[in-house]
Amino acid sequence: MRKEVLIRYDRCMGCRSCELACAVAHSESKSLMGALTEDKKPLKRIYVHQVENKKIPINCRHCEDAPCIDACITGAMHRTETGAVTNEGGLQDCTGCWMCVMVCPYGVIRSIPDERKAVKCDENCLDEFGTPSCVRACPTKALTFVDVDDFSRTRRNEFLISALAQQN
Amino acid sequence: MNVVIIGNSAAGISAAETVRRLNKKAEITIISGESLPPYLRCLIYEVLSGKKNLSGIYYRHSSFFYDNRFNLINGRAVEIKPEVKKVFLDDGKELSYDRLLVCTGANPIPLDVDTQNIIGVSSLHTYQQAANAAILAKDAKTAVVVGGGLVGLKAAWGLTQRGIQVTVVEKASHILSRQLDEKSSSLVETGLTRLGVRFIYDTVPIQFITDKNNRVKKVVLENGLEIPSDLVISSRGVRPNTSLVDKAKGITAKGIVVNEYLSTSLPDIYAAGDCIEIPDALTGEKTPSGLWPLAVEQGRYAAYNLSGYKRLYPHPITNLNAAQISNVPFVSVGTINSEADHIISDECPKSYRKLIIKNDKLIGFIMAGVVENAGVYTSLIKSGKLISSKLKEKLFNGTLTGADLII
Repeated sequence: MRKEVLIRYDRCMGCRSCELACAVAHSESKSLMGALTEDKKPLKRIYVHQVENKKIPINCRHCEDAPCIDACITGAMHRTETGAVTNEGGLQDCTGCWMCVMVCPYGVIRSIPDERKAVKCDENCLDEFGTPSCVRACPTKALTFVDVDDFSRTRRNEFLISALAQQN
Repeated sequence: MNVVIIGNSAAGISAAETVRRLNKKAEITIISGESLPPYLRCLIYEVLSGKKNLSGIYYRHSSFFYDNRFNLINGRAVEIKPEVKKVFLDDGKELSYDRLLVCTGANPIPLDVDTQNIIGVSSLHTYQQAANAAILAKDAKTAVVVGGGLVGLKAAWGLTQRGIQVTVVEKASHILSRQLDEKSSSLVETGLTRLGVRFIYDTVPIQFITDKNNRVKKVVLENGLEIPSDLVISSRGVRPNTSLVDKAKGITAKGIVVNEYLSTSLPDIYAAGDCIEIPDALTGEKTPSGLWPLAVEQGRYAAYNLSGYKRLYPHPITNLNAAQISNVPFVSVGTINSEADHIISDECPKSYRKLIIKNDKLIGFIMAGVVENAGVYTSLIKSGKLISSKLKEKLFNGTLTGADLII
C-alpha cells in the first residue's frame, strides 16, 4: 500500500523544521552542520507558506495522472515503482525546460535555471522505518505519513465529526 | 477488442499504454511512419547541435513494445475505409480494426520558395531531418533559420553552439510572437544575441542561391538583403495532418474535428494529438492542438473512450508553453494578446512578468527570466476562479503561492 504525507493544517505552527530537514536530507553530508558548509547549498522541496493567519505546509502530492509527467518533454519525469513522481533516475535527464514548473498546481517544483534542472520531492529521504525526513522532523504531527486508504478514511472521519459537532 | 493506433509519438504511446492498462486482452497495433522507437520530438534540436543522438532522446525502453504486447508495424497508413473497418498501408498490407485512433501529428509548413533540388535546406520535424542537418552543419560556417518560433530558436541556439554564425529571419516584428510579447521576447533575443545570433525582422526569404553542387550558399530576402548561408533550417510552424480523415470523408477544418469524447465524425474512429483541432478553454476558438502535454492527455482520454469508459475531455488551454533558450527561462500560458480589463506588467533588467485579467479572472500570463510558481498561475487560469481583492494583492506583488489556492 502506498503511503503519502497527510497534512493537518490546524496543527502547523510554522516552525519550518520540515523545510530544514528536507534540505539536510538532500545534502551531501546528510547532517545540518555538514550541509551548512557545503559549497552547493542543499535545496528544500517542502514549503511552509502563510495565508492570512494560517501556516500552510505544501509539498508534492505525487498525483495520479500527474500533470508534470504528462508535460515532461524530456523523458525525465516519471513514476517510480514505489509510486513517487521524480525527475531523477528516469530514462533521460532533466534538461530544465520548465514544462513541469508550468503545470504543477501546487507550485512545488522549483526551477534552477543555472543548472537547467527542476527540483522536487523525490522521497529519497526515507529513514529505516520508511518515514520521510519532513514528517520525522515535525514536532506537532502536522505532517504524518499514512496509507492512502487510511488517509481518506481519517479525513472522512474528521469531516463527519466536525459536521456533527456543528449540528449539535 | 482490436485497437489500431496510427502514430508512434506522444498521443499514440499514451493511448496504447492506457488501453493496455484498461484491457489486458486487447489486441493493440501501432503503425509507425518512422522506423524508430518513440522519441522526444521536442528534443531533436539537441541532435542538430550534436549534443545528443537517438539514444539520448528515446522515451521508452527498447523492450517497451514486447513488454506491453503491442504489435509495431513500420509503414505509412495511406487510406482508411470506415465502411469495412480497415486501414491500408503503403506496402499494400491491410489491417482490420474494431476501434481506430488517428494520431498522425502535424506537418511542417513549407517555405514559399521551391527548395526541392537544393541541398542544405531542411525542416526540423523528424529525427532523420535533424540527423541529416547535423551532418551538413559539420562543414557549415553560416546558417539561416527561417521562423523565430520555439523550434527555430532552439535550432539557432543549437547551431550557435557548434560555432556557426546564425541569422534568424522572422516575418513578424518580434520572435516567439505566439508565446511572448515584445518585452519578454526581447529578453530571449538579448540572450541569443550575446551568443552571436543575428535577427532580421519583417521579412521572408524569396530566393536561395546555390553553388555548382546545388548546395545552398546564400539566402536572398524580400527586403533586398543577401545572407551567406551554408545551411537553412525552415521552421515556419506546423499544420495538422488531416489527410487520412479527409480522404475517408471525415470532417476536418484546421485539424481533424473531434467531439468532446475525441471521436471523429467517422464511426469507431477517434483522433488525438497534433492532428486535431480543439476549442480553447478560454476563447472557445477552435485551434490546432499542437502541444506535447495535450497530446499525452488526449491520448489517455481517447483510450478511455474507445475502450468503452466514457470520459469527457475538458477544453484545454491551447497556449501552454515553457522553455529555456540560452540563459532565459520563460513560460507563457493562456490568452496573452487580447483586450483585457487589467494588465499587470513588472519589469526588471533580467526578468519580466505580465498578467492579463479580464472580468476579474486571470486569463493569461507571461513569465520570463524567473518562472517560479508558474503552475499556480496556470491552475488559477484553469479554475476560472474570481480573483478576490486579497488574491489580487498577491498577484500584484508576485507573492502568490500554491497555498493561496488550496485554502
